[in-house]
Amino acid sequence: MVDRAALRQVDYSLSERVQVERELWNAFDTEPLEDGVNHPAEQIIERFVRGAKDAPERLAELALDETSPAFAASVLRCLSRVADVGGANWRLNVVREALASSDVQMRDAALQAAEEWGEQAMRPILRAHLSSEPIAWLRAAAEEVIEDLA
Amino acid sequence: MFLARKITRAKWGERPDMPVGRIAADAVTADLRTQDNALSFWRCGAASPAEIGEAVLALAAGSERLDKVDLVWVAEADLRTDGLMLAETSGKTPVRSLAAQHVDVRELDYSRLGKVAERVLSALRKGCYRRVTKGKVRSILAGAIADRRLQHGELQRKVASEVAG
Repeated sequence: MVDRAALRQVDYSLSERVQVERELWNAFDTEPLEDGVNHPAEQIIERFVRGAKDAPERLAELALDETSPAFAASVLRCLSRVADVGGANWRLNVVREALASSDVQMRDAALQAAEEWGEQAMRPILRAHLSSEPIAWLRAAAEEVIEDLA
Repeated sequence: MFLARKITRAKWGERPDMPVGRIAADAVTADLRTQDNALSFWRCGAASPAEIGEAVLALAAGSERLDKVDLVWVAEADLRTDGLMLAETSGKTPVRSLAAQHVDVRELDYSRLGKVAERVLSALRKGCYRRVTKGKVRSILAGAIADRRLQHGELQRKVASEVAG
């Protein structure tokens, strides 16, 4: 027996995710994310977080999508700009997974998210990453963030 | 003497899909976005740590939000050698003593913008780069307020809320 109600929920969720993804693509296409400058994607994310219970999980999928690393990095950086998104464990997991990416933009975005979210629990995750980080400037930056989070 | 500009360091890195020495289009279109065919730089003297701190202060004090700053500095003489047009203009920063340190590289076209990009990449390879973490940027701003070079109320709202007055 097919649970039609559940199917409708899945359909709705998928279309919503696609819509948000499109909006985010357009936002980053129109205006690249820049340090020190507000970005329209922050409002798109805030709206989605307010309106959908599973928004953090869906946004994490976008932020960890290695097939589009520049987009994923921008999503992660914007996610970290939005207050109260996800729980502490969700934030730690997103940072841990993004640090494991083969793409330097995603690892850098993870570092910035760790700094932005500012939780002490990020320190061991960053410290564990140091020995495997191949890019010298990013390793140095991670060491500084670990200090700053102390 | 050097001129500093904010970039996104990760966009200028080596990439598996791009041979060494090539500049990713994302780096140019994101970090070298011109306005009126000009790019904004800040004088940073001989690029000592204190001078780099001043460039960071100028940039961060005028920002909408408090973020880390990735700064690259290129030799002014190299830009002039490339035939680029430099003009001193008043910088958009509330730190009055630093506004005069602003320089526009003007009359840029496709070819000249490429020269700037080459200089940025070359500078990064020489280590003319510094990341200043968000925490350090906050300290720099707080220090400027304590030294009365900047008033807390001159910062934009989000920045002000993160920097002790």
